[in-house]
Amino acid sequence: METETASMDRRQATFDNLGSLQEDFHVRARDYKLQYAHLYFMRLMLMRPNVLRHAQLKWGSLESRPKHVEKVLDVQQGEISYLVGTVYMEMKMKPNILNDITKDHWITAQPDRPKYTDDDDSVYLEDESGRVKLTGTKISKELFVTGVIMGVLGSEDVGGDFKVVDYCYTLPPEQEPLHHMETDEADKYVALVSGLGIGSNDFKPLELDLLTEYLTGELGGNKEQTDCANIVRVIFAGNSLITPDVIEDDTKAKKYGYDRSKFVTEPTAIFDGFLRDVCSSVPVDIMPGDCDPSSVTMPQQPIHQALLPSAREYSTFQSVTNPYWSSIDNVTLLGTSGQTIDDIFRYVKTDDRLEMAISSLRWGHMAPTAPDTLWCYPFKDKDPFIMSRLPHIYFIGNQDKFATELVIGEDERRTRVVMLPPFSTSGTIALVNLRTLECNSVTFSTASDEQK
Amino acid sequence: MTTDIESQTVDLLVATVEDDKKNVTYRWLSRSMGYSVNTAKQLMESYLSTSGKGKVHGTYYIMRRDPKTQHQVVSLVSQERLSEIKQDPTVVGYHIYSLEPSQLKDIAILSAANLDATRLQQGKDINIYRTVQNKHVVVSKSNNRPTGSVATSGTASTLAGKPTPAAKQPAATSPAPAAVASTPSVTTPPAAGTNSKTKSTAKPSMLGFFGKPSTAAPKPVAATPTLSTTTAPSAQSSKLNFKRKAESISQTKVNDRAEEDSDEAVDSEEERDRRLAMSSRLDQDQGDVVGSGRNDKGSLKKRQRSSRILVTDDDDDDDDDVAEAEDDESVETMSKEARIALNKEKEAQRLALENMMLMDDNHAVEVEDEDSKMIDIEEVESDKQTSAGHASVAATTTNGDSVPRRRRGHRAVTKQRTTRNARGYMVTEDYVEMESFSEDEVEPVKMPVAAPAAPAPLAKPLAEPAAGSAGTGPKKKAGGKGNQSLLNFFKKA
Repeated sequence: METETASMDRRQATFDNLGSLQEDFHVRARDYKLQYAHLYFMRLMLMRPNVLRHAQLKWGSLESRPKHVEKVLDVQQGEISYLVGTVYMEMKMKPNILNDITKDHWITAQPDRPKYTDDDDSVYLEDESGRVKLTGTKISKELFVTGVIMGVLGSEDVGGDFKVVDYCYTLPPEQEPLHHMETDEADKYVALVSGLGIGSNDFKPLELDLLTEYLTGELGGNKEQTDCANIVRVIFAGNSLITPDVIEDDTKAKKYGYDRSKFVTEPTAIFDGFLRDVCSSVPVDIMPGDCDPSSVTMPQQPIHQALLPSAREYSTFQSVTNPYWSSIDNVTLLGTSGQTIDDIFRYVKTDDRLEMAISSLRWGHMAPTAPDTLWCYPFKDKDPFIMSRLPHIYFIGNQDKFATELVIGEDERRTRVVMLPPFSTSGTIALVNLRTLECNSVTFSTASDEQK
Repeated sequence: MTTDIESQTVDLLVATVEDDKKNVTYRWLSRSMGYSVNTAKQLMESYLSTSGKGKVHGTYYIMRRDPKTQHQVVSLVSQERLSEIKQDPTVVGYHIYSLEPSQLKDIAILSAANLDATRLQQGKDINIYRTVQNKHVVVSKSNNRPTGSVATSGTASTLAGKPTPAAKQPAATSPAPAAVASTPSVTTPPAAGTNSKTKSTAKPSMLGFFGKPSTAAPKPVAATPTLSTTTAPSAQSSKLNFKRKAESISQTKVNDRAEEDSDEAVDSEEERDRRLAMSSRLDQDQGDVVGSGRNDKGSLKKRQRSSRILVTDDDDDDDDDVAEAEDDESVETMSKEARIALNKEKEAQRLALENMMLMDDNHAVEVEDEDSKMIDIEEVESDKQTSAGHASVAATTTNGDSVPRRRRGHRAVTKQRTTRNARGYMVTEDYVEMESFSEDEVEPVKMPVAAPAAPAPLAKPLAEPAAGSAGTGPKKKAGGKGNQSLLNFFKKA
C-alpha cells in the first residue's frame, strides 16, 4: 500500500449564495402578531398562475372543453370544469388546538402519533371563496397534504362534492442548465452529512474521528487522498448537537425553570473541535436541525457563531439556515434538515420517504404542511418555501435510511434526491458528483463484529 | 526519510506502546513527530513488521467498495484479518491505523489517542501533517462574517480582503470598551452607592469591571460637557467629584489633585488599558490602595491624569504643579474635637447619601445621578465647609467677591483603610486626615434659584461650597432627602 508524501491541493469550486432565495429564509424582524392566513394567501397567489397554466395545457384541449372556474363556490353541478386551490386535509387525528382547549383540563394530552391518518380522512380544495370536498378514486390513491396548490378536473355531484377525474400541480420551475465542459480533471464532489448527533447516546467518537480524517484527507492511501481532494464542500444537514439526557437527581430539591448547572458543555466543545479540524481543510456549511440550538419555527435561523468559537475563525466556516439554497459551480442545491418530510410523513399512509421527497418536488413546494402542523414563522408578503427554482440536488437530512433517486423531468431537468440517514446511528454520508449528479454513500463503521 | 527519524519513531513507539502501554494512532504519531500522516503510516507499518512484531498489535483501516452500488464502507479491523483482507476483491484500500499493546476489546478508546493528537497539533500549521492542503483557508480571530452572505471561494482576493477589516476591528474594539464603560458607569455608581455599606469590597469590583477610573472619566463626559471649558480649579474639583463618584462607596477623598501634571501626551487608549488593569488591581485590594494612597500616588496620579485627560482636554493646569507639592500634609492641624465633629458630620452625610440612593427606582438612574453628583459636591463642600470651619483655612469665603483668588488651606479628608485585624478579619475603617488644598475661587454663589447653567455650577463646585454653604450644611440635612439634593443642585448655579 503506497503512501507517498507528496502534497496536493484541494479542488476549489465557486460558491454562490443565491442571494434572494437564501435571504428569504433569514427572518430579521420577528413579528408574531400576524395571522397565518397571509402565508396561505401568498402561497395561493404566487403559485396559482403556474398551476393554472399547467391545467390549461393539460386539459384545455379536451373534448368536453372544461372551463376554468375562478371561484370554488361557483362550481356548477354537472359541468366539467377545473379549479385551482389549496388542499386541505380534514383529519381527525391531526393536532387541533381547538380540541385541546375544549377538552377537560384534567385529561392528559394525547401522545404524539407517528401518523395522523385515519380511514375517514377527507380532502378539501380551498381558495379565497370557500372549500369543496373532493371525492373520487383518484383522490384515494394519491397522497395529499395540506397546503399543496393543486388543480383538479372534474364535476360537482349531487351531494355538493367535487368528483375528481384528474389533477395537476404546478409547472416545474426553471432550472439552471448544467453545462459542463469536457475536462480532463476529475469530478468534484460535495459531501452531505446529517445527524452527527454529538451528545446523543448513539454518538461514537471514533466514527467522528474517522469522518474527520476522511474529510480532511488524512485517511487512506494515495488514491483515497486524491479522491478526497475532490470534495469541494461539506454540508451538515442538521442535528449536529443533541442535548444529552440528564439523569434526574431526585435527591436534589426540584428547581423550577431552567437549571443552568445541569447544562453540559461537552457536546458543543466536541463539535467545535471537530469543525475546526474539518474547516481547516474544506468549506463547511452548518444547517440547524430540530435538535440543534436554533429557532423552533421554520425556517430555522443559523446557529449562532458564538457557540463555535474556534470554528468561526475560519473563512471556510458558514452557518446557514434550514432550509438552505446554495449553488456550487452552478449546481443548485436545496436541502432541509428533515422536519419538512417528517411532517409530510405523518399525513400519508405510506412509509416511503423518498416518495414523499419526490412528491414535494412535484408540488413545487418544500414545506406544504407549514403552517398547519409544521411550525413556521408567519410570513406576511412572501412564502419562502415555494420552489421558485428547480434544484439539481435536493437533500433531506435525518431520514430513516440512505436513499437516492435521480428524478428526470421534462426538458432535461434532472434532480438528484438524496435522503440522508443520521450519522450517529448509521455512520453514513453521501457524496454527490457535481458533474454527473451521481450519488454514492460512504459508511464509517467501527462495529465490533469486524474484530475477531 | 532519514533513518534518524526512523529510529526516533521506533524509539517513541517502543516507549509509548510497549512500555507505557498506550494506544497510538497514526495521527498521534504524525503530530508528535511533526511529519505528514503518510510518513507516519509508513513508519508504523515498518515498525510493526519488524521490531514490533508480536509485541504490539495493529489495527487497520480498510475501505471496501461494493461493485454494484459503488457504496464505500470504511471500517477498522484487527491485524489478524489482514491476510483475508488482502485477498478480498472488494477492498480498495487499507493501511495501518493504530498500534496497541494488545488486541483491543473496544476500539472506541482509540478516540482518546486522537484527542491527544488534536491537542498536540494546536498552534502548529496543520499542513505539516496533511497531504491535501487548502490554501484558501483564512484564519482570523475576528472573522465576523455574516451568515448567508455571498462568498466566492477560490478567489483569494476576497479572502485577503477579510483579514484587513479584521485587523481594523481590534483597533476599533478598544475605544469601544471605553465607550461601553461610559454608559454603564452612569448607572453603576448609583447602584454601587446602595451597597456601599454592606458590600464595600464586592461593589468596587463590579465598578472595576467597567473600569473605575473610566467611570470617573465618562461621568464628566456624560454629565458636564462644559467641563472641558472650565478653568483649572474647576477641573481639579470636578476630578475630585468623579474620584468620589467612582469610589463613593469607599468615601475616599483621595487627593486627586495629585495628578495635576499636565502631561497631555499620554495615549488615552493605552492609559485606558492601564487604567483598567489598575482598576482591577484596585478591586482586589481596594482599601489597600486607598490606605496606601501615599505610596501609590504615582499610579493614582496617572489614573486620574488620564481620566482628567478624557474629560478636560484643553484644560491647562498650571497650578497643578504647585498643588502637587502640597500633597502630603498631615492632619495634625486639626484638633481632636474637630476631628470627631467632622467624622460625625461625615457619617450623617453618608447616611443621607445612602438614603438618596435608595430612592425610587423609576427615576433612580437620573435622579441618583444628580443626587450622587450632588452628594459629591455636597460632601466636598461640606468638607470645604468643615475644613473652613475647623482648619485654618486661609481662604476667605467671600460671598460677594468676584475676584478669582486662590484659596488655600487644610481640610479634613476622610479616607478608608482596610486592614486585617488581630482575629484575621478584614476591617475597613475611616480615618480623617488633613490635607491641604489650593483652589481658585471663581464666581460667588448665592442661593441659586435658577439652575440654567447646571454644568456651570458643577464647574465651580468646590469654590462655592465654603462660600455659600457655610451655614447650609446642617440645613441641607434637615431639609429632607429629596430637597437636600435638589437644593444642592440649585446652589451651584
